Amino acid sequence: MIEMKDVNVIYDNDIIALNHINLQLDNGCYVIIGQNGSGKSTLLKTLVSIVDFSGEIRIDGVLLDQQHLKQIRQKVGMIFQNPDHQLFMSRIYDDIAFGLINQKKSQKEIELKIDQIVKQLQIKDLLNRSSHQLSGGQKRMAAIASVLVMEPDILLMDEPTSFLDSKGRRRMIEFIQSCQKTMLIVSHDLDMALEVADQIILLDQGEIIMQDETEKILKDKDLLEQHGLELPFCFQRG
Amino acid sequence: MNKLFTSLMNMSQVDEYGHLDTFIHHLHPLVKMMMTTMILVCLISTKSIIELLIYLFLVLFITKCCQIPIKQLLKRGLLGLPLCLCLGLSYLLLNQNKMYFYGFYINEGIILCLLLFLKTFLCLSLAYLLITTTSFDELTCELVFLKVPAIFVLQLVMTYRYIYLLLEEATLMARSYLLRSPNDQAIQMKDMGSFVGHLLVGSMKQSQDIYHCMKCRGFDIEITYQHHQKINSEDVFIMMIGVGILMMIKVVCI
Ligand SMILES: Nc1ncnc2c1ncn2[C@@H]1O[C@H](COP(=O)(O)OP(=O)(O)OP(=O)(O)O)[C@@H](O)[C@H]1O
Ligand SMILES: [Mg+2]
Repeated sequence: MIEMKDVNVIYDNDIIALNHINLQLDNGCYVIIGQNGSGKSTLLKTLVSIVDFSGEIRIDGVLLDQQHLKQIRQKVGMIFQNPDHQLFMSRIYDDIAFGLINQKKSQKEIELKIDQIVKQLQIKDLLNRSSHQLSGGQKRMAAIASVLVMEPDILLMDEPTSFLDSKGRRRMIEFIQSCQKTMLIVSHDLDMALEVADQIILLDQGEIIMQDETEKILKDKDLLEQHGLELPFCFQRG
Repeated sequence: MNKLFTSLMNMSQVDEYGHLDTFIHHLHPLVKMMMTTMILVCLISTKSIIELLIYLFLVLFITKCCQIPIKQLLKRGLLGLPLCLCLGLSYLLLNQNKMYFYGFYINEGIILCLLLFLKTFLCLSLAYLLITTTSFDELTCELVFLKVPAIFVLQLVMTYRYIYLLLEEATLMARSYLLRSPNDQAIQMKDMGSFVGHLLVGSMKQSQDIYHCMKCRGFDIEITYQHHQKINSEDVFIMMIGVGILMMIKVVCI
């Protein structure tokens, strides 16, 4: 469960990225939509306290502050918008193992978990390669694996389907649908949102415009256009 | 130009020989670290060309044992050449004293220049050998084991990553610059200021993002790098042989 009370984020003293955000998210899959620069990534980053914010955030009832930061980061896994930031070891295998080592897992357990995750995401052939040699989509998959392998209770994903081809995207959607965690996903892919989201959160200029049932928001052409978005493809045709 | 970029990119991949299967690769990281330090101290403290030539032979021998192509070693070792040429030339020009050298009278400047050159090359080569045969993470684990304060180890780890990030960022930026200005062979002087500025700010921001990502996955120097390996008797034996060889070189050359 994620609670945000009157959260504000201001960059460089004058760019208001989040403006009085109040949110309450229970178990389920939530997709945040909004045009470029509307503050979606910033919202995710505040939840792991990467950017400075004012206000109050609680995750599963635990207050997000310096004292509980470690505890919360163990609970929350975040997949960043740019996979390059997430891959920093010499081999993809080491990258995926990185989080597990920090969780003090035994060597055997680490190997087992990595084996499971690479089978699930079908990236076994990437394990021994260096991230410099991978394509955008392959990097994205590896970055996703490196977070999922830690089995966080809450998953934050910043544009998980960007860089992916249609098969990779489908794999991602199926994964999200099969996942029983609290998930907060940022995406420009409204068709995916339609498939996976329990609720949609519409963000514009750092403010939450609306939080409601998926279809209600995604079928509302006027609302979407007002905030710089378009209807999902499947509704455009029909 | 493409060739330059490719070689720059390759430079950032020192671990390409890291997965080879030689006995030096399997040596205990701590042994390699200590041996490197000892050779470094020996070669920095000497003033004898002959001794340096012996170390040169030793380094080449180790390179052969590691199955690393000598050409790769030369590429890295000669990186410091421009800097030491500047210093060396000033020796040549300023120091006109004659000295006796194995039956000949030659300029002291030449000897000093040669010494400087050999030492720089050897230091860089040794560092390269250590890094290629030992993964940086293994080295870090040993530093943590030796109880080096976390803040220093962290600096080292982040600096190591930052250098590669900077190289990569520079290569990418230069490529996109040249693609958009097909008539230029290199980055123009007038754009150099903003190029370098952007490079530094951009790469710093990126390294900050990477650090955040690491933190989000529970990074903590003392936890992440706690896999100290046990030293076994073979390692000790090889270390003793190494120390013996170094002592012999010192004795012979004195
Ligand atoms: N490090 C930063 N310093 C200053 N301003 C920033 C910084 N990061 C983001 N911003 C600004 O904050 C606002 C929100 O940015 P954010 O990255 O959250 O947008 P976003 O909704 O994720 O956009 P996109 O869809 O393009 O990823 C933007 O106006 C952006 O210019
Ligand atoms: Mg974003």
